[in-house]
Amino acid sequence: MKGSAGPFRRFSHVKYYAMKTTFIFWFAFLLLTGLQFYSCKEDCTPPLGTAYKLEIPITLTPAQDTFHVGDTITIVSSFSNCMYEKDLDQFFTIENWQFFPTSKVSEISSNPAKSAMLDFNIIIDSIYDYEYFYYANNEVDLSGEYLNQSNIYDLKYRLIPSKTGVYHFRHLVDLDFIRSQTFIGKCKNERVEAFVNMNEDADNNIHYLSLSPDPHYNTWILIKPELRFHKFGGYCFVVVE
Amino acid sequence: MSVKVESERGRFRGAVQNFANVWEWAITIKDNAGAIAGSVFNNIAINYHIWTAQGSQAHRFWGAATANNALHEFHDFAVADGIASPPLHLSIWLSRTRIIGFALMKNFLSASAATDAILNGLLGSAFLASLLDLITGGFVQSTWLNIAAPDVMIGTGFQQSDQLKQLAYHEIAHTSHFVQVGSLYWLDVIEAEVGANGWGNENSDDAGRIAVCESWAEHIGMTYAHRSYFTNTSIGETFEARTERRVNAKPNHVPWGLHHDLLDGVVDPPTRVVDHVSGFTNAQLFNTLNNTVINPEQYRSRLIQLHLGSTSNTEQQVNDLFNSY
Repeated sequence: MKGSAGPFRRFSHVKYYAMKTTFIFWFAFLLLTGLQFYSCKEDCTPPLGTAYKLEIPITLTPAQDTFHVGDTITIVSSFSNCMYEKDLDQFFTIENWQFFPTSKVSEISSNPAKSAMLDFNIIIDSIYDYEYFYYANNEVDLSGEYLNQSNIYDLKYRLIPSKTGVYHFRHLVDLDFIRSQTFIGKCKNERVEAFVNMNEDADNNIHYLSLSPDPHYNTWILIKPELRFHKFGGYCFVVVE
Repeated sequence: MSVKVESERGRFRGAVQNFANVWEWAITIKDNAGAIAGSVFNNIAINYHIWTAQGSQAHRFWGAATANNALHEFHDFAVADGIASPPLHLSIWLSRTRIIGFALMKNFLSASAATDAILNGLLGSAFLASLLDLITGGFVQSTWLNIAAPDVMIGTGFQQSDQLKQLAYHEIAHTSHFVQVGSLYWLDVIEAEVGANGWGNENSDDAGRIAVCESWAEHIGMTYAHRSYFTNTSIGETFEARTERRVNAKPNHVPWGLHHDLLDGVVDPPTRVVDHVSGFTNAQLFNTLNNTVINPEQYRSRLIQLHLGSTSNTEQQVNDLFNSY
């Protein structure tokens, strides 16, 4: 009996696996098709390039190319939650976000250029979470977070130069600092970049970079000034006695 | 003469389009670079410049060249750091539209086990959207896993080499970590991340494992991007500077600034983290992250047990740093 039952058992074994494979195949197919259908229904506007580029306005006043030691330079970046996307030429409502800016200043008349935030006295109202950040390589920046009040994102501070030199100021905003932030109209898994607009698209004395002996400034940045200078709110100025 | 993006360390696949070029899913990326006449040629350099049309051949070749460079550089960096090199013969898929990646390690796991891990974690996960580049043609489930699924997927939807390299280093760091922790651990990583729709949040199932694995990969990705690019980056500063300022990727989840804080000599502003720790090495951190470490708490405990004595830090300082994340 054992012998006669063998072939039947083998057939049953094959049939079982065929059914199981078919079931798993169709289960997975329907699941993935459903997922794709779901993703196609996503109500969003994809970025034109490889990321959304949210414009962050900032002003440096007075917008002059030469300051004296002891002058006051005022930095203001204040904008509503209705933010402009450059490539799409479209506004998005960016509610309850956390924006994490960093302000850097380099003295560029030497090679290599030097971190120079400590060449300035800083005046910041205590309502702002913005303070010195010391790095392992002894560089120093200002870093913190925009104040979000009544749908206005706000940051203000003053720089008072205490030394002479040629300076390159920039203002970065790391939108990847917290990964879970999104907004209505944003497609899933698309990146968001900040594009800092200093003084409404002014040239911001970029020509001073070419005077620097540091090739990072006199060559590398100038190859793509829009992406390497203006995108980060670049502004150059000289401080004299 | 042709350029095939393949070595014993890995081979790279990637299609120009999903359906029109289905055959490209399975084959190694190859560029027919032209004809040259002569006897013997060595060290012929071919540059693949940045693309302008997403999904073009130029994009495909640029992505392959950049990711291939990242793989070889990672091997060098890993040796220098004393961490495990990635396993050989990695199968790497390059997506032309994505800017994320994953490390499935399919060839190092059984297809059925990997399938089970995915299905266990699935339950409506949109994370699979990042896999759809591969599966929209109809290859499904274990059939798809056997034929098309890669060990690593790297999105090449960037227009800056340094950002693609950073992602590539991140994903390759997962493969190095896989060598350390083994298959069973990695199946749990797959299940957790599929279930959490990626990195999830602090309440996701097995969130601790996600936090450990992703924060380590991001730390290595940023560290190696810094070594490759130093000041000339597309992010307006060095990758190291950005890493030093980071805390958690999400609230109480994925402490991607932690590993660097264990190494560096920086006292961070107390409003961020309590960091009076320095002097650990990447080799020590990697050695700590074995298959018994499935959350940051176990990472802290094992790091203190194994390596605190070789540094000048106190146990309280290490505890304070971990507790502030």
